[in-house]
Amino acid sequence: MIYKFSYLSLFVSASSLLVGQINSNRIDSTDRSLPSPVEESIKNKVNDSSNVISSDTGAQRPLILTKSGLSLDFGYNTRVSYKQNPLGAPGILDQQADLVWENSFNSRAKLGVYDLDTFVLTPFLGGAWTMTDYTHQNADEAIPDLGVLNHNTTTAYLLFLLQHQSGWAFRAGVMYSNDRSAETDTEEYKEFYPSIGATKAHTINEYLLGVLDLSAGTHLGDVEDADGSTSSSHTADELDHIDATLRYSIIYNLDNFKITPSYSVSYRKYDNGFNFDRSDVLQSISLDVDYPITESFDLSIFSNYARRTSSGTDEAQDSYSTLYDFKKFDIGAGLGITASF
Amino acid sequence: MFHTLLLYNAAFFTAAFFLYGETPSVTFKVGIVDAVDLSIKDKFDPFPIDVNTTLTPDLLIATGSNGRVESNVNGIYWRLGCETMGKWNSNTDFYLDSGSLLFCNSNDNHIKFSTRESTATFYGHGTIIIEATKNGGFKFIPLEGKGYIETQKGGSKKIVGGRMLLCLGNPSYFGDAYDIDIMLMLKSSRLINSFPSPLPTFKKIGLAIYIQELKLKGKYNALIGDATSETNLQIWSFGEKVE
Repeated sequence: MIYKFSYLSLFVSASSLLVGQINSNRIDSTDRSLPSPVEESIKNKVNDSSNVISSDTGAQRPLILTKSGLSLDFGYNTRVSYKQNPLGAPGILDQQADLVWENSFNSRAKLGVYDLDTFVLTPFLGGAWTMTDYTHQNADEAIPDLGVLNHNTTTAYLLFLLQHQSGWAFRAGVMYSNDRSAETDTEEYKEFYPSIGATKAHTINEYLLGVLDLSAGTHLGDVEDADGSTSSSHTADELDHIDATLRYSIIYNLDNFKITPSYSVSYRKYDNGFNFDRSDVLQSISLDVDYPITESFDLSIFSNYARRTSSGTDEAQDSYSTLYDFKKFDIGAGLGITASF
Repeated sequence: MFHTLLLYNAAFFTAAFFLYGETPSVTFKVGIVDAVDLSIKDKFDPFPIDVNTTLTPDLLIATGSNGRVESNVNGIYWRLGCETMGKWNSNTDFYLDSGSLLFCNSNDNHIKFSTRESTATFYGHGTIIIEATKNGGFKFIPLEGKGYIETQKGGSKKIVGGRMLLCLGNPSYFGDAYDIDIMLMLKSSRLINSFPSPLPTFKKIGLAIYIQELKLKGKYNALIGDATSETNLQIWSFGEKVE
């Protein structure tokens, strides 16, 4: 999720900030997307240690399977990350750097497994509740304490996953998300995000697996008090946009470690209110290292560098790039625990 | 309308007659593979067979310790493993005396499998491994497929990818069913891996593995062995059950 202060607020005097008049108004929608269970499955796959000698028939190891494929997962994740530009402010990279602590409770129900001959259909219903806290205070920054931006996020989604025998996995679903300020307990933003996606994994060699993921969707949001301005050009739907994303990841198995470098590029097109005729290109490279401590408890280290370039001009003929171009860098670590039923 | 239906049925059954009446023949052979001509009375004289040998019902085929043979006629794959003895009564009817075989076809068929004691008929398509057991019956292991299997006393059962069924006795009936790790079989089965041409149903086997992964609750640290009698199935344990 990206929060950003308004362009003008960057120039608000430090004194006004100090007296608590920070305006955490929202000028960006979310970066959330529907989960890709196939990618998760590929990443979470544990190498089977049971090496058996070949025979004509093959080794016959009995399994315990659920009859219908119904299952329920509950999880808790905690992540601490250093964010060099957490607000996605334009200009230099190092702005308002902060230590951000995210705690998330999530659940997911798999609503059966349906064999359709050349396809297997799996519906999922899931949700999460996430608390985001900006923990660091720095008197040298324009805003010494970003704690006013602490917020809680609720998400819920319905997802249909269609695995084809060719190896392509298609998904379609809708996600609802809602951000509430932890300080004022007011809803700042909510959106519906219907989207589709496709994933294909391919073996590069014995240790490397490549994963291509394509997705597209429409963010249909409702932002309160957009940009903190009373200007008539601001509307509740001005953050609505369509997006199309391509991501390529390589999964490298090194003993129990999963090392995943990724590159993604996303195109976003806005057409409402203040953002009329705005288009963004967001590029991102990331490196994740996952280590399963036990089957349901894992440790991860992650890093991400993202860069956004905006094009178009607002109604005052000012370039969007001066408002929305940014560079961001995050690095952090997390712990996750999952219980499956 | 009636004539059209009649013509359609006639065409279908004529095509089926020629297709299923096709005699299998050797399309791949490795190691020692011998045959005995059963039509010659009072004489047991094994002779080696090679690629293009027609596998008539009179030929009892026996593979050596490293011998394997494949027949691929009209898209119906038959593979015999090593130290296996059996004969083709037709391209859709196999008698397995001992050892193991693989059958694979993408189109619906009626396939008859029989061993010293047991007989079952499979209706449908799929990739199936048959292993003769000491008790005279056999293990029926579909890696993927659609259809059902029928025995005289046990009625019919729908087949499920990875679900092994034991066929026992005469008249035949079904023993216990076990869900088997298809991925492990895929990695360790020479009937799948030790032949030059890949099976045409490989993608469907992949989908069956995916379904198993979605339904997986746990794996037993055990391997299933031979069925030495109608009531005894060997299970080789190598640790605790993993939940």
